[in-house]
Amino acid sequence: MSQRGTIREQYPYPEGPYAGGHYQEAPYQEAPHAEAPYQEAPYADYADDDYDEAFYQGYDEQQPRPKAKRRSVDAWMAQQSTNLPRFKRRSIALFFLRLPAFVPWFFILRGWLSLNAKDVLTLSEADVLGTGGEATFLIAVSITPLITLIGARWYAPLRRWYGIFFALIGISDAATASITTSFSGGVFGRLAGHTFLVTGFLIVLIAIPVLLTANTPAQRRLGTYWKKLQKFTYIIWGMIVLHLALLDGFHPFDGPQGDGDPVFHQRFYQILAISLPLVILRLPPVKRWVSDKRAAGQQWKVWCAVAPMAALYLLAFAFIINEEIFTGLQVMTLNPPAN
Amino acid sequence: MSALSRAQAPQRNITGFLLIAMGSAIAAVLVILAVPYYAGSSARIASLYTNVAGPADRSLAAEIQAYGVNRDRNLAAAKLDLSNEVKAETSFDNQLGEITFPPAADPHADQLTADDAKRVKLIRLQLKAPSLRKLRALDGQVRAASAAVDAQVTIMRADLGLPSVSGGLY
Repeated sequence: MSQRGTIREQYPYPEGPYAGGHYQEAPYQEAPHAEAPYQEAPYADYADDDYDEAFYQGYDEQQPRPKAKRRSVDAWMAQQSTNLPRFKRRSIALFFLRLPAFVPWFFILRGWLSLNAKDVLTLSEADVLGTGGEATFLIAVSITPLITLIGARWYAPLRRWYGIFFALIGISDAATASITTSFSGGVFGRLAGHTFLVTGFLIVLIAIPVLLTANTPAQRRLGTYWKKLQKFTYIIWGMIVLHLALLDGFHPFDGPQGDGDPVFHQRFYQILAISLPLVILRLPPVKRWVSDKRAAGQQWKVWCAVAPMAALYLLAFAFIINEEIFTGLQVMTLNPPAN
Repeated sequence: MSALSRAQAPQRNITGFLLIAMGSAIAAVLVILAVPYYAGSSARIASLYTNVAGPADRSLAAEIQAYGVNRDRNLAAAKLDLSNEVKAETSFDNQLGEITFPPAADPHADQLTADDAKRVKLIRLQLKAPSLRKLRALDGQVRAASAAVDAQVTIMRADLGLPSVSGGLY
């Protein structure tokens, strides 16, 4: 049996009929789901997993199986909670891990309810919703590399969750900006009056079809096209990098503003620092190397190898969160910046 | 699995390791550079302060000197000097508000801005004076307010590791 087959035995439901080209060969109705209904499957939430087949090419069953630890963690998370027996551990953990997606709206809410009192939305909405949208997108695209690194997959549903919230926050950002920002040219000028605004608006436009199809019925209906459509995420990623490059430029900030750390607050630098490990951990040779080391019981080598990238990722992400909290509190307290 | 793919597997693994090592080497250099950069943030904040204080001081020094001459002779010229002084002080306060000071210096910056605002308020009263005599009558109160500002500037500059100044400057 191939390694791919081994994984299917362990995770029959998430892989299911949606794994790459298998959709045509094994229609949904004929899949193992008929015997074990999809809803009752222990990993039903993993339906949005898109396991990379190339990752498993070149392995056979003679090789050590790299999934033992993953299975144990996932199996443990799939059990009922000891303290809350009505819920699975995974469900409780996912509930709390999903909550930060609401933070940008939590911060902006007072600005909305006060109808832009003290021009708080004019001055800060892009900082709060833009940074919040960026953070949710980066969390969404961090899930796959995290699965590559750790092996456990119980948190895979967060990818869809944060992806959906990225799009929703982006739409709310565009809607608010079209009404409140001070750019000339009416609604169109506020949405696309500058090059960085055009890229931001395109991000939202591209995100809409991805958002509309980010659900299991659309996944079933679109079949193999679904995955191609979801790959628009990579276009969005590139557009976000371009948007921030146009917004902040290639140089550190100057002028009297700031807290003495202008380089750390430069958003174009931040997204480059975060994208570096996320891109590298998506490369098939890197995935195979990580898998090999895990299979050989040398996970520590993986951690050592990725530690500098992880440190850079966390450093950059810390300043994105700092920006979100700082500007978010300005909106919440109706105390926007002077300019 | 074919013999060919078995033979290819180690080659792929080396590629994977090299890619991850390259990314980590870049990341390590950036993180190592970030440490001294972060440690230098207090010096950069001090620099931000002097960048704001420097132009304000140059303007204030000239206006204070000119007011000292005009306060006994020319009401209009004295009022113009005071008006320019208000502009310089207000501009300094606004720019100071845009700097995010470390927690120790932050309350002192707020106090400095508040003391400066009191001085500006008194100078604005002077601007309404109809005669040189009434203008000069408020000088004592302005000097007292300036003394409070000077004291706060001394504390502020000490917080930022800067040498102290005198004569109503920042």
